[in-house]
Amino acid sequence: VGRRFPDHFHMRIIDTNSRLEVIPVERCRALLATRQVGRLAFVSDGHPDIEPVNYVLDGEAVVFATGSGSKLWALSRGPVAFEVDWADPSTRTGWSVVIHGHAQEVTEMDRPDLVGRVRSLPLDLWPPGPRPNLIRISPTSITGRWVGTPSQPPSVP
Amino acid sequence: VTSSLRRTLDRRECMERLAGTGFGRVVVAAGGLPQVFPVNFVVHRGRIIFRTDPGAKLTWSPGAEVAFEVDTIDADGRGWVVVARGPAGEIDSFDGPVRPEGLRSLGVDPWAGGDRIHWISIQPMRVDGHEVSARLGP
Repeated sequence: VGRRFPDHFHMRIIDTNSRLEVIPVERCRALLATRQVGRLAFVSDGHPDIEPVNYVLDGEAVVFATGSGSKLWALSRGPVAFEVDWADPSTRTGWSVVIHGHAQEVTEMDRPDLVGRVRSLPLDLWPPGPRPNLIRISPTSITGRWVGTPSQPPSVP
Repeated sequence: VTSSLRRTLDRRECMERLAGTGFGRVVVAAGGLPQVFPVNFVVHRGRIIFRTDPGAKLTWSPGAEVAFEVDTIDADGRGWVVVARGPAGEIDSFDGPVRPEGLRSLGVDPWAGGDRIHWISIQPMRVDGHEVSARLGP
């Protein structure tokens, strides 16, 4: 009998809030691995804030480096969101994946294998300057939405 | 050691970069939790304007503070980022220079389609940006 539908056919799920098509979580994870810069969204002293950072994946977790300062202060006291996206204005297509979770600094007090693994990650892109603190976000949720041609799931740009 | 040439963008430069982008990310603090989502937008009379659907889970109480970010960063770490912060609200609730009439001519055209009948305006009270134009090393 074989496959009834070609590979590119997939069941579309539309998010009722945004009316955007939902990206299955496995594909969200794959898409996260295709980018190097994401945006950290956090609430600092009650104020929403956001800044781009260079990141790498440690399993399902997002790891980035930061200098000491207000961002670190905010991170140590609340949940964060981390957004990665890709957009092509010429075809009006794009996707966005958002992780929610808690950020924690990776320190010498953590498991040696985690410290070693995280410290070996290639994190030198953005922002420039000394960034001695490594922050790891363990996701409590991963969600993705995309806009594009319905028959084409989001692909690696 | 990695070094780079970093330059702060002044407000005029930041607004020019915002206006030339069209795709950005909004952050709101919903009960202390950060929510972030991308939008298509325009800059009109100094304000950032985008559209949302009635079903959007975000409620736009007049004056709710948001952060709005655009960036362009290449694989070598060169690029720029602009973050605007200020109150957001549905345009109906504003008495400022942006009026509901004529909004259709602004060209806010979300790729996602849909009605998106709510027009949201951000008043950028504070705008920060910087550019990294050269990257040396490591």
